[in-house]
Amino acid sequence: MIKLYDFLVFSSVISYLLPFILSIKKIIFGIRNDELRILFLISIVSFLSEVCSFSFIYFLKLSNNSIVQVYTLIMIGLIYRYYRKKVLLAFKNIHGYILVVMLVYMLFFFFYDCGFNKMNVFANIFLTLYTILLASIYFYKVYTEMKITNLFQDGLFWINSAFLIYFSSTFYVSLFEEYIRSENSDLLYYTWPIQLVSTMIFNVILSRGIWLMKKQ
Amino acid sequence: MVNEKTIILTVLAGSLFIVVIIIFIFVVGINYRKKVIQRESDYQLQLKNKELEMLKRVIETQETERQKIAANLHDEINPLLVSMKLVLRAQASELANLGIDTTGLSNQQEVINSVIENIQSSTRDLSPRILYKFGLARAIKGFLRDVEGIDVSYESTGEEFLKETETINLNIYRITLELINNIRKYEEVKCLHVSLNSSDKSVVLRITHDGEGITNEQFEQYAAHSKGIGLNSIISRVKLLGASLDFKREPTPEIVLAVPLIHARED
Repeated sequence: MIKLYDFLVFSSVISYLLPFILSIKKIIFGIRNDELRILFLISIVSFLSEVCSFSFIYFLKLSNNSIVQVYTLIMIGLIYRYYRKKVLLAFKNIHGYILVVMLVYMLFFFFYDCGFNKMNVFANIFLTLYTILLASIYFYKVYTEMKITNLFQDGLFWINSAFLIYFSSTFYVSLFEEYIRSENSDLLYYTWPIQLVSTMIFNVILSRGIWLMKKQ
Repeated sequence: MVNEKTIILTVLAGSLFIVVIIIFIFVVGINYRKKVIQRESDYQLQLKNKELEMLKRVIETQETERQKIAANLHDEINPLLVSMKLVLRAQASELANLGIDTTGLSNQQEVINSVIENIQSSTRDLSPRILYKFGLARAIKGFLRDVEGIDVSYESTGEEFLKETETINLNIYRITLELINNIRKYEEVKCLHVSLNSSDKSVVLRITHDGEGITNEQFEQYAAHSKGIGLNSIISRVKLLGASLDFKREPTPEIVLAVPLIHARED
């Protein structure tokens, strides 16, 4: 079981390289839009956070909670940036305020409240629900406006699907994570593969989306 | 205490949850595609209907104008010419009684006769009263009777099905005239056979001749490069009727116009 788990961990970390390489390739070949830059940043941030997390756990024998907190903080900003022009136009200001409040809260949590060795569950859940909400609004907009001829040939559809799948599974896992951790953290070997598999699916689908991205 | 069974169930439920989301996304994508295709076909249908509506209006306007011109020629110009002819005849008679040569006047009378005949023929073409009065079969027969220099034969069946289809009849008549005039103009034809077969579902007009004939591709080429009214009028009317026009060269040159009556009646 542990061997399978290690294999999944290794595969999921390596899978981050796929969208990372594709986005670099696209940027080199002349596609330099905001979406691609943000996706590039998302893949690089995710890859680095995974590498750092596992270095902390396996080599330094430390908790990766501080890495997760920084990752969550950056990801909220990137997700907001990604969806800002697509779905947030009408409520840009409200979202901006929510985001500022969230960032202040996270910084407060990080430096004063619980420190960086604790898991900020609220921030994690906020990130997942916020992304699921934005992805769902995007789907709704696409479905009602009907401006795209074939969704399966549209890069943004795949990218949005990737976000929806990944953050839904993250949300699902995070519902039980704290409880299982408090009971018997060894049991996380069973639940965490869901997250690892969804990470791989996320990276494959995200790569498909980046592959289909065109010059604007 | 969490037991292993609960964890396995949680994992299974989580996996199922991911699968459901993936299926949901695919269903959304497929449904969207169906919706787009449906919208596209609705749009094409709307465009086609609009185009047909426009064609219908153009042709109706054309026919109304033709009828007006025909009425003017028949009711105003023709009586004037006839009275002029009568005056000339009376003058010729008076001059003849006085022993004066009336050859000049006779020539003028012949010219006037010829003009009257031409006007009558044009009036027939512009507004074929025979068509409105006796139907399509008789109108085509009447037109073919006047065709000179070619051995023409004609047969028709199912005339009873063409009683309540005036617009269709008029369009078929115009197409027939145009096709036959083109055959006479561009082909060296000695024999021409026209058959008109009607049923409750369709009207099929078949024109066979002993000329060279053309193919559908050739017709399309001529139509694309034509600047005249004739070919365009044929195409517009065929479109309006929802009909098909088929040109064949082998084994004998033939043109087949098939008009679906149900579709046209619904319109």
